Amino acid sequence: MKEYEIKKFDEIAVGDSAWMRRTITEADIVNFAGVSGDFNPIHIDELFARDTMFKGRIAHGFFTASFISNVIGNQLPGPGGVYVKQDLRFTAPVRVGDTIATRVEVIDKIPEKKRIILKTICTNQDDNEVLVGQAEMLVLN
Amino acid sequence: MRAIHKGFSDLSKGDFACCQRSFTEADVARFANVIGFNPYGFIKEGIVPIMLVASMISKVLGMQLPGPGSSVELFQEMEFISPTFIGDTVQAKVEIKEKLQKYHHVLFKTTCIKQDGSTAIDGICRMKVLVS
Repeated sequence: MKEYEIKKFDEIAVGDSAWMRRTITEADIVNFAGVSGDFNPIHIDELFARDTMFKGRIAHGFFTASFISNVIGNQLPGPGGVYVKQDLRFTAPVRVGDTIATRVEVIDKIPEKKRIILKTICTNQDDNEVLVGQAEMLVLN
Repeated sequence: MRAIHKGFSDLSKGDFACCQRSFTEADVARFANVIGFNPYGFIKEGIVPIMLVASMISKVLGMQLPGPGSSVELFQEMEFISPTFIGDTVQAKVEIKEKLQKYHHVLFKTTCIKQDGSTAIDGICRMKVLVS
């Protein structure tokens, strides 16, 4: 069986980008609560959530954040990269029915440390940013 | 049920909360199913996806300190110091480092420590508390 293609540090250039898109469902929220153990009522209890500033249930921040690690781990730089750092700024809530596009782009390379810096942005169907941040990867190949 | 609000004045520097969890291969496979990736590489190397480990931090913040209903996570910074392996037991801890009166922001130190004392994740989180 063929193993995964591993990108080399020199094959990655500033400006390279990758993305994915996904619509958030009820099932996603329940599944993420189950797998993370995070049953915060803001995610799973509509009556509770209605009473908060969000006026209804929202998706887990780390569900959206996982899309970033998904694109990074599968596409850019893909398998073989070591996740070193991630900053996340939560700028708007994500709700059931929202379609979230996750895009990562290489904005810097540090050859002496074999590090690449990526800008990571998640936007919703209205093109509003919901999660913005920066990732740092170690690419030893 | 009404939201139970923990206000800004209820929080003090030094307050902390923890949760603990052991990771199994089933956890990794399930997480992969939920997020939508192939767990082959992780399971082969016995590694737990870092976002699954990191989700423990927002679980503690959201369910314990400051807890549900009253606050919003604004910013999180994480450094992934060492990998978490299947079978590891991780303790996530959040501790209040600073309260910023003017904006009702609270700064937390957030860490995930493995059973041998080594650090998996080190970071900070800034939350806004909506209730006085």
